[in-house]
Amino acid sequence: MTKISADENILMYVHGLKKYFPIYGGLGGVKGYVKALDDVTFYLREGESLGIVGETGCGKTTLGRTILRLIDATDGDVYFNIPKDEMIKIIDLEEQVKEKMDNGKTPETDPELRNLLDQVSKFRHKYSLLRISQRELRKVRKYMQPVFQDPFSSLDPRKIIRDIIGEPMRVLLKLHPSEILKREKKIIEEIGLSEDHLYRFPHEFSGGQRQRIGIARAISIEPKMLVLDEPTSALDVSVQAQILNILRDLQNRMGLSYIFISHHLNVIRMMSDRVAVMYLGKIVELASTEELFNEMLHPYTKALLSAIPIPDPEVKIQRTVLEGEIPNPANPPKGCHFHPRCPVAMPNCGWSPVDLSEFIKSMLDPVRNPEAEAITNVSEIQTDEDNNILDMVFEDGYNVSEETLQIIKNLVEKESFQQKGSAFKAISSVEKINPGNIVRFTIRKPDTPKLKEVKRGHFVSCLIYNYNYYDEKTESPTPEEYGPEIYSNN
Amino acid sequence: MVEENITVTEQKERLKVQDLKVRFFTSKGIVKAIDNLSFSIREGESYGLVGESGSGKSVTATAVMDLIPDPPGRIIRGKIYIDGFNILTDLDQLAKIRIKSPTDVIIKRKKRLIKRHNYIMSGIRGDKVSMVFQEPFLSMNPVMTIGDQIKEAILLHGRVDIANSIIKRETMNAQEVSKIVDTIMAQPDTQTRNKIIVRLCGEYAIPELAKPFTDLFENSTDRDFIINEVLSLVNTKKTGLNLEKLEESKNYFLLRERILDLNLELIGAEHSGDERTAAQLEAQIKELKSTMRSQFLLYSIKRRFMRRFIDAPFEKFAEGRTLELLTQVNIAGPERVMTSYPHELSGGMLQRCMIAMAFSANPQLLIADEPTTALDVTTQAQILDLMKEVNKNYNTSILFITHDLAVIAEMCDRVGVIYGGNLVEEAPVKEIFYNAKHPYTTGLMNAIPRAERRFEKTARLESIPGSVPNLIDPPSGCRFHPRCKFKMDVCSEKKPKLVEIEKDHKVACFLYSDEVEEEPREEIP
Amino acid sequence: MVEEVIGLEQVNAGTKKYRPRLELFSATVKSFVSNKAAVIGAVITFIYFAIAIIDTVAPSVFGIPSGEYTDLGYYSKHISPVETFGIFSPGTSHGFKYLLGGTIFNYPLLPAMFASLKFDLGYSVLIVGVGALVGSAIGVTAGYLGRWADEFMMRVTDVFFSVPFLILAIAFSTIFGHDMLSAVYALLIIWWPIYARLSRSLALSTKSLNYVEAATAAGSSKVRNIFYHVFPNVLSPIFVQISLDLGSIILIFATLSFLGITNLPYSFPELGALISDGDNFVTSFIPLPGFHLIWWPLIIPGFFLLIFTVSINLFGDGMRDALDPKLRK
Repeated sequence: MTKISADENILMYVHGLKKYFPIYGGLGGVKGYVKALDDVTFYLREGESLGIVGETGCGKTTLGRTILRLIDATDGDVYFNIPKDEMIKIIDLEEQVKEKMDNGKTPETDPELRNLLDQVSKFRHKYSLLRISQRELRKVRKYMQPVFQDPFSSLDPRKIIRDIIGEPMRVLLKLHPSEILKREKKIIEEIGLSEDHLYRFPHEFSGGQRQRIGIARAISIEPKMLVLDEPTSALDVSVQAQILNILRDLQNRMGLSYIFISHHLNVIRMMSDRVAVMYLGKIVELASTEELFNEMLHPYTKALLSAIPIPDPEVKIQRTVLEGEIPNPANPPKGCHFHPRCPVAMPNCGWSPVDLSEFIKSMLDPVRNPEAEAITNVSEIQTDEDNNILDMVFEDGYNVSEETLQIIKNLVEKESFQQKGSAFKAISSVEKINPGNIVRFTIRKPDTPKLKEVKRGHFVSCLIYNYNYYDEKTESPTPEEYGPEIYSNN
Repeated sequence: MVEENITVTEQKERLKVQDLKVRFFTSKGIVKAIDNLSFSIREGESYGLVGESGSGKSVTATAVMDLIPDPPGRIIRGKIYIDGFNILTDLDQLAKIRIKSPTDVIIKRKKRLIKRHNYIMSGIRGDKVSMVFQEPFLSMNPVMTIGDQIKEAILLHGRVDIANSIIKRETMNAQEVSKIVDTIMAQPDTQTRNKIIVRLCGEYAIPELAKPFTDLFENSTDRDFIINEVLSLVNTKKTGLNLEKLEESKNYFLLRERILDLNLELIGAEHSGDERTAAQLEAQIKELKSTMRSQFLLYSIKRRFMRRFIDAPFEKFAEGRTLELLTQVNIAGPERVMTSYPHELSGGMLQRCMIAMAFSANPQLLIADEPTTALDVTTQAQILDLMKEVNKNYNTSILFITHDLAVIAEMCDRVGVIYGGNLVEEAPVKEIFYNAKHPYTTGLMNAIPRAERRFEKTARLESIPGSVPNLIDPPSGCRFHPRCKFKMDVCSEKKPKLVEIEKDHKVACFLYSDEVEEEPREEIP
Repeated sequence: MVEEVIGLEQVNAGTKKYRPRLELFSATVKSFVSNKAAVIGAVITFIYFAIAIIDTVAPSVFGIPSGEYTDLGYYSKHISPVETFGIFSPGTSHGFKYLLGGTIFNYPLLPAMFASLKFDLGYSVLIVGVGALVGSAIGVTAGYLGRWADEFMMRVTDVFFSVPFLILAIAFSTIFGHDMLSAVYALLIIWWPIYARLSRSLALSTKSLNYVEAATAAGSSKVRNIFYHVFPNVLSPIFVQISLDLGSIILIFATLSFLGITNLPYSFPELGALISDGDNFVTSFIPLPGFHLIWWPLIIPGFFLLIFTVSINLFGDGMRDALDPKLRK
């Protein structure tokens, strides 16, 4: 992350947030984890709105809930609404710790890191929303409120609107009932309903009106930040415009900060100052709205943007249609999660033996490659994920000749110039091993991309922009080499 | 009647809806879901119906399929021509509705007509019209594999064609092959050549050979070699089944199809008041039915008890066709998908399977009811591309229903805007986007957050005040007037008529025309 | 589709009258009153309960002094079977006591039925009340807290749920004696898991709704969430379950005494025992010549029970509709 200048007012800082949902096997055993959030870090300035965009299952809703501590995080910290100088100090400390940890240092070996950790942990226990007690948390809740997507399930069907709107005031501010009523009357008029609506039940309202009531509940205690979880996706276009206008007016008047979660890119574009794009639990790109929509860098962002239908029949865009769909978050791809669908994937993006076994099967298809007719007696393909090894096992007693090995090597060479060639480029060696009927492919270790600041304020998590990377053996292109070619056609 | 003749014009109309009126009789009152809706879809055209939730667009789609749940729903009046045949002819005669009070409605129907109507609809649905729904998870049977479901859809219609092509394949000889090879080789252009090959392979029930054949014709110009090669390949596909039995099946289904056709004719005749023809047709149907009973008695018993043996060649054909369909909708690994259950697939995959299923009988009209609303943007892009492809390749007309104007801009040739059960504007897509007339349409256009527009912090989206009206007690006159910026006195008193104000551009608004829609007096409120 | 069309009810400002909070209660009442079946059910249920209460407080109102049952029980052992057939049929002029005729030993049927309500209703209210209270408390807590608390509580519930009721009742009756109390103990142990399961599933679905999350974000604690948001939304199905159970517990008492597991003395005022006695008349004595059909000891208590079960179910249904603002109108 970048250095924060001292004059900026940071309202919230989220650091290394993780939420793993366990998948239970029989008898209470844990089979694995769905990594809904995996190391999410960002900050939010005062009065700013940060859009969070992504497809189903990317973890954007979990992010909103974890920040509000409606569900408990697995790891990570959220600092919210703390004194300015302390905030800057915390961000600095956390960054330092993270850098040291990333470089493979541990508190046992590095006394400096240990010292830093001691300092940080003091702050964490004092301020981090995910660690403080429920009682202290209640004090903070005054300043952050949610607005939910579904206008039907977000209001208690057995309470009248007055009770619903008044709940935060009653519980958090402990105001006198007459004072609450006074405020309620003011708020309900602000959001465009009238006073006698206070005594009705939620089911008597339309979707848009309910969403207004949800907003009224959230702003009733004058918070500093709203977490808006898809506030308009259940609404019609004409009503959506009403709600967006209300949200915008409120922000201008009350100086609210928004975390605006949506899958609708155009709404995000309109409503936010900065945008974070999420894919399978990670932020893949984070930049100011203008920058992101004009100079998007991550291949996923490009694909996502090009997929939006444009409400103009004359504009025909050149689409990057992604192959396949979002992978199962319980079993995400190695390396960069996006690499199997990525149109510009590189050899080190995370190709695993399992990925390659599919490609090698099709490589051996004689229709695709006539040379492969010579290789007939492959009995199975074994993969070893831990050691990045893929074994092509021939029938028992068969001895792989030098020619066959050469054919296979040639095929790999040939395939590496075809579509998905980067997967074949990831093969670092092809060799025969004992007892003579096995050809072993060794695959290079994948690199995991990190969210890096590529330009000022523009963060991307993609190996293409990892300028340290250059592999002489596979001669993978550096971004300068093929950057312009691929990234010119926005 | 007169309309029946009008439908056959120069540009064939695949679907024509006239004065459609749909009501739902609920305990809370009569829901005036659709009022005097008229539109038509031409051959190969993609027509978009756009509106907000509760505007009646989904009701229209289900009405065209005649799938409105009854009770509480009912088509009160109107004509729906599918390929020139009014599917509501029978329903028209039986709509006898007596209203005691808004919540107490008595609906009387004649059982015989209902029965005939259902019989005919089951022949039309899936064969001439297919539908793709919004929620693929809810519209597939969870306990049947995808393959079985698509096979079922294939075997519901066109058994005669299947039998014909199997017989053709089995009886294929050298003479025929050489003739076909000659015609193909006469084509100079590879693309048309490939198209012919694919079509012929389908005709001869050997779709899996299309690929080798195209390769063959590309790589070789030696006529004799090609003929030999083709013959040997075809011979490997011949199964040597008992053609007599297949012939029997074919005749049985031929007879069934004939009876259905005669019934359609009979309905037409009855409706136009031609009693003599009607009587003749009725006699004919009766005769055919008795033939069927006597001639195919043994067959139908066999079919009931030994279905697996009798249907085996059909099943096999259906399996090949299913694979072909799944490949056509760009599913990777169609063999695996065929044997999997709906819950094992993602939403986008299932929606593709739904489209494959809808195309099993090559319908001329596809109704897509918000097919991409439940999907992610990237998947939506894939599905829209697929539907455009299908629309182009098969010349299928599409009725595309959505609330997303951007999708309309991408998909459709002509657009109808529906509000409160009324069509308020209809025009070609460019007219709608650049020259919208109705205040509701312009309001909708301005309410979309657009990517290309820059928004300052203080800028606002234009919104339409209020919300969609309650259709139990809709506003009087123009249903949009309570939310309209340009409201006039006349708007709340009279209902504007949908009038063509420019070429192909119809609007129902008093700003552009003074014509008032007449409400028949005896009608239901 | 219909929901889609009519679900969009628009509230026009000013069309409805200002409704103070008290009117909300009257709206509930009004909605209940508009449901005729529910009102009839409520009235009949009320009458039954009133009879039971009066009979407990002042037994002599219906003309039977307390202690008479036990005398009769004693009397029965010394009387020959033949004498039992001289019983009065309904409608004959033998006074109010014999308005519905007599049952075995010519014991007056009407007061017996009235008196039996005291036991039947008292015990079933006790069982259902305790069951609903304990069960829903456990169920809602388990469902809302989830994880190990849920796991533990529901396994305990399962243990109780899996005990076969009849065997438990037989065991209890051998231990505590063949009287109604042992059946009551058995039912007390068996009955609450139904409520626990029901309320747990309801709490689970309610918990995941956004309004509970919104309350948490508004600083509401877990306990407050359970009582203020989850419990009211769980209540109405539990009300219906209670009304169904009140009827079925009386049926269970009847079954037990019919089977002889609660071996009550002759003409002990318990509906099941009365029906069982009446059954003896109908089944054993019809074929004999010279005897007219004695139907009333079976049919009348049977109908008496049936009417109660039906009306309390109607009452429960009406309550559910009235309590749910979505169904109200």
